[in-house]
Amino acid sequence: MGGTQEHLEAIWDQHVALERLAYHSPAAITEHTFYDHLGDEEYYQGYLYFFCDLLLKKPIHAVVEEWIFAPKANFDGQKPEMLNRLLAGILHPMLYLGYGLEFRYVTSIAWGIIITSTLASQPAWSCR
Amino acid sequence: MPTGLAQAAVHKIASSALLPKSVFETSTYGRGTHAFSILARIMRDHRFNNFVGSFDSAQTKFGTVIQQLAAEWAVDGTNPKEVAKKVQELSFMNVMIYVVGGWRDGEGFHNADFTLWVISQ
Repeated sequence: MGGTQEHLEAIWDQHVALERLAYHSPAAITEHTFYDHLGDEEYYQGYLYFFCDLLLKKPIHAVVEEWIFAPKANFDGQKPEMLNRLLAGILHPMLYLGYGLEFRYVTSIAWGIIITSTLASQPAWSCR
Repeated sequence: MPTGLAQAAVHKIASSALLPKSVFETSTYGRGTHAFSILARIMRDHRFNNFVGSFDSAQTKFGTVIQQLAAEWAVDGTNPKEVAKKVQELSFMNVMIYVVGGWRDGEGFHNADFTLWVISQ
C-alpha cells in the first residue's frame, strides 16, 4: 500500500504510547465464574486462558457453538448475550474469531511467536 | 481464535436490538430474498436517511428494523453448496458497500479503504 519503514515505525511509536502492557486478571476464569465478569476488560487475560485451554481439549466448532451460539450463552439465566458481544467493539471480536476459524491455529501460533520474539521482556498473551 | 472469544467476553453489549432473543427461537428459513434486494430496500427507506452517529448508536436506533429486513435472507446451513453460494452473495454485497462506497466524484477510487477492508474482513 506504499507505506515506508518510517511510516511503520512512526505508527508503532504512536501505538506504544497509547497501549498498556499486558497484565494478569484479578482472578482466573473457570466454567463456574464465566458469567460473573462478562464485559469487564480487567478479565481479558482470564477469558483468554479459559478459551485457550478449552480449544486444546475440544474441537473449534464445538467451543464456538457452546460459548457463542447456544441459548445458555445468550438469553438463558443471566442473559450473557455472547453473540451480541461478538459484534460489539465495531465487530472486532468477530473479526478475530473469523481469522481463527479461517486459519485455524496458525494465526494464534504465529502471533505467539511474533510477540514472544519482539517483546521478550513483557508478558505475551498467547496460549501457553 | 481464543483472542476473538476472549474479546467477545469482555466487551459490553451495545444493544440487544439487532440480535434479540427471538433470533434464537425462530427458524433460519426466511423468504430467501437476495442480499442486494435487502440493501436496495435500506437505501430507499427514509428512516435511514441522514443518520450521523457511531456503529453502536446505529445498532441501538435501527437494530430492530435491520433485524426485520435481514430476517428475509435465508440460508440452509446444512447444505455446503448453498452456504458457499450465500457466502459469495455476501462477498459481492460487501464489495458493493465498501468499493462503491469508496468512490468519490472527482477523486476516483480510494484504494486504501478497499484494501484495508479486504485485509481486515
